[in-house]
Amino acid sequence: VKRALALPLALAMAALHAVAVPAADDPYAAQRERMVSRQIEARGISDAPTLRAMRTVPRHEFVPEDRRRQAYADSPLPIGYGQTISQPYIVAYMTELLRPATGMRVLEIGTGSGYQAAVLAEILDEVYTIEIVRELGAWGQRNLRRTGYEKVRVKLADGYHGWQEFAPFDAIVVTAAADHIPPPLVEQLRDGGRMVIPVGSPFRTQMLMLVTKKGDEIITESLLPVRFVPLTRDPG
Amino acid sequence: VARRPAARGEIAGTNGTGRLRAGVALGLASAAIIAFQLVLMQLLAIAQWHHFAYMVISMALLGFGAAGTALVLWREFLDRHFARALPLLFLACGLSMATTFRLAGLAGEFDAYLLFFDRGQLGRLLFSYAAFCLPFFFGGLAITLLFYRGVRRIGVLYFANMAGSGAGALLVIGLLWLLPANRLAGLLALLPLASAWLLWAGSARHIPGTVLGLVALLVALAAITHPPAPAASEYKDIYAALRLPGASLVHRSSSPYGLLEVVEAEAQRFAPGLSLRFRGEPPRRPVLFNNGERFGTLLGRGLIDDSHVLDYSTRALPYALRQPASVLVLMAGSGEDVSHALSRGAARVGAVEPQRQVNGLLRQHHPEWIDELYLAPQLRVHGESVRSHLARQHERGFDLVVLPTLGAFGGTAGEHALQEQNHLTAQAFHAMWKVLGSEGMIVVTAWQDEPARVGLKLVATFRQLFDELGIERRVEHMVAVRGWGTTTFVLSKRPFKPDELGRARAFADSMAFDPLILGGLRPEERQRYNRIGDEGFFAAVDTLLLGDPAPLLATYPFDIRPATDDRPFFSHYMSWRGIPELRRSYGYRELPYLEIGFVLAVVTVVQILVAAIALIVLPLFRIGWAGTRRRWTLLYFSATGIGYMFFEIVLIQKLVLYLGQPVYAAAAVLATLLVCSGAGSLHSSRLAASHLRLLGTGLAIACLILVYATLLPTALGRTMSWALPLKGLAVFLSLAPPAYFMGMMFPIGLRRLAGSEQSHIPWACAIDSCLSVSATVLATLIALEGGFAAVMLIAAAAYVIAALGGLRLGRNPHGTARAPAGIIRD
Repeated sequence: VKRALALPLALAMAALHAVAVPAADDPYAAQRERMVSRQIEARGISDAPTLRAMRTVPRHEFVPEDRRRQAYADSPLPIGYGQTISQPYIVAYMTELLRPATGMRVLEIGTGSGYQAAVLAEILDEVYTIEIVRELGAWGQRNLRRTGYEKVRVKLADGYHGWQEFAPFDAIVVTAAADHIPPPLVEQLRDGGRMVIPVGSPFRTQMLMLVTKKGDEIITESLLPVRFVPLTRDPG
Repeated sequence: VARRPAARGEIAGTNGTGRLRAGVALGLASAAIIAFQLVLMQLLAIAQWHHFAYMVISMALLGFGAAGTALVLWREFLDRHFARALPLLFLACGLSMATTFRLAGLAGEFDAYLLFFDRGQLGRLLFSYAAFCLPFFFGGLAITLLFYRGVRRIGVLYFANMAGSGAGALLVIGLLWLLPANRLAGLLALLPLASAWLLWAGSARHIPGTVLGLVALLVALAAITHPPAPAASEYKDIYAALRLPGASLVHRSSSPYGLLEVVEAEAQRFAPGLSLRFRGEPPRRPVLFNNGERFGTLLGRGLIDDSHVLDYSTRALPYALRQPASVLVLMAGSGEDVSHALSRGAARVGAVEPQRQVNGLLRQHHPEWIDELYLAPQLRVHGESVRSHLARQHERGFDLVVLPTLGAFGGTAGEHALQEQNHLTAQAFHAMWKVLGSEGMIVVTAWQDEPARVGLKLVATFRQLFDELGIERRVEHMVAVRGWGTTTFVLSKRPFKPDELGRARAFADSMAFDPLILGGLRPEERQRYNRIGDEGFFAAVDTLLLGDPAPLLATYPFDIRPATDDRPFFSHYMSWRGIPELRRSYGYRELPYLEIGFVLAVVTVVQILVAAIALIVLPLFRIGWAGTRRRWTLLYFSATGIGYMFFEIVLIQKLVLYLGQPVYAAAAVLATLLVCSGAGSLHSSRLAASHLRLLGTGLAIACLILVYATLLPTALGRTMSWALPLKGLAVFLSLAPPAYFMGMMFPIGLRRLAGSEQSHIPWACAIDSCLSVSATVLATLIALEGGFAAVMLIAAAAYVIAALGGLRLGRNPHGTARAPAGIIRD
């Protein structure tokens, strides 16, 4: 009887332990879970690998130390050099738009803090990222190494030229877009591939631009993040 | 320093030399203060943004109001130690001018862009206010004290104050050509130090004072030789450019127009919104920045193989439609569209760019930067404003008028929402229409934004233009093509022909662009290559162009009404009515970044009003709350403060547009206003300060303002094509009467107080200063919604209130005084 009573108790303890250990090791786990459920799932992101990646990657490791308390807030955060780490929802939305699947090869232009690359690396094996601002790229690279995403290949260079050595890519994320879409990136996009470009000023992503390549035809699509309630208009 | 306290009316000595010294000291300090204000504005605009500079300086100018309040609170003490206090105050003014920029930096790096994001920035902002306030506080206190003590000679003192301020406004323009703004703070600090020295020079030796003076002099000299370097916000364009690999700053020059810098970097490519069919390598060119913001690429010839790089953008649409032989490029910037026009074989090209410093660099000093493009024989460069140029009768018959590209990739955060853009008003489009030949076209390109604002406001403007011209078949006169990033609109004086429409279609198809407005357009053609998430955009465009635009204009959450000369804020879209809906869609945190310029202006008004009320109420604890006289003092001086500044702001806006040279015109208008007001004040000392005088003068000003509100726009519009000397004369004649009469109201009011409510004099100065500063910001906000005409009407109403309030103001007239001049608009 004692054993019969002890077994469920032991299982319960083990279960408690299983929950408690990550919480003790990672004080941000609960915040991250809330971030996913309230900011991402609630807004319609349903892609399972994306949600899993967002639950796993420690976002607080990708923001400056003095911003860690805000790491899981529903907003972008400044990371220095005039750059921001995107709002969690936007990162998730961009990831979902790429339709990440095993075997895909993805190129990111604009490493920044490395967070987007880390989220992609949670799902994919081949992630390449390029940063033009040397200091920022070095910091992003350190963040990726420290958090165990060594497989992400980081290059400190002008992203305009893409990464010919590993082309073609199934998807390209251009998080540091200039006022043009570099022709080399279009060329390095595989036929049927997708390119995602967040468009907006530092603290306001106004839309995501999706570029798809089908043979010689290139189609762009401006997508409004679902958090934006369409504005009302009276057409008269 | 004389140890004996001076008697009232005695200023730094009893003889004529002493009085002369006081007058000169006052004039020098007044000149320095107003010049310093403009220098500070430029320094802050370099480091942050123009509107942030405006916000900080508006608060800093409350130092004048604080000076009046301080004088109420410490009147006896300052009166007793007048001879020593006055030079010390001038010295403190100079010392703080030399050090205030470094002092403000002690609280850490401040970034206006993070203000709505990072609470830590708020403390830094408040510290900045305090630091920048110091020179104005010390200078204002010295001037107010001088007025208070020298009430018997107030006419001369006041004239010195006004003339000095006027001279300062002109002086700084010259100085900004000679030295960079950061060195000028130290240089200008020498003027109040000279004032202190002048006042000390005729007095007994005072060793601590001499030592202090020497220390201050050394600090000022150090500020000249080792000036603070304003570091650009990391959210400014130049910050990013300088962090590109191998980037180098190859040029830097300063002028009243701003700080021009040229950055060279391999990664700076010119390919704005280029077609995705383009497979070449865009040109790598240096970029020109003004006050840290991108002014334009030094594109030069811009050729790739045989074609121009812009041929792959929507901007090539007018050249696909026709072959314009004469092209007028407005706000030509660094010559990108000039380059395009020349490459397309235009035989006559005019480039209008009011930034003369840029024109000089590209034509005379560094023509090689743009491949000697500006030396082309078929090109004429005009260094004047767009409206002045368009008003000239002989510049007509153009085949194409090109406007600058509006907005930016990714949209902007609305940093320039409050900028007056007189080249984008409905009246400006009429003026462009007039210079077109029979085959003429107007082209304007805009970056797409979300939610749509720029494009819709343009279409609303075109609709109004067509309606006013009586063109009913609007679609026949217009073509628009949309790429993945930009939309180009072309308006034609005559209807487009079928073959031209065919060419537009073919051009769009070849570049993977989509027609937006085109005769015979099918709905499915609009999103063949570039799909948008907000399909309501197309319905809105159609409504604005073809339907009844009024309901849409009234209900759209952004203000997309056409800009007018009365409300020339094309880049202002946020409206009070739309804010609740915008907040629901984007949340509180993102809201400011929809139009940060407007939000900063609102914040500025709120904080200024709070501070102004505190500064006005505080003296009541000293002069008492009882009795009814205070309310009339408050009413009268509030009304004159608001009325004067409201009218001054409208005059500057109208006359700067009229004269066509923003920087010089603003300085000239300001100087004329100040000197004419000074003359009016001087004359008022000979008049009896009676109730009837106040009533009559106030009502006369109100009538004058109403006449100006009715006739001035028409009169200026009809004479805009006059030669500059004639226009200058017209400006003087239109400025002088109101400025002269308005200059009387304040001193006459003070003279009435002098006899009965002596303690109210510094309080009245504080009220006038506080309300004047508040009015400068408030006027802009009112103009955004109601136009400058509304501001004029409020100014007239304010003078009626002042006239009526004057009937109960004070009693026995003795002296005259006025609050220190020096509050100007940016």
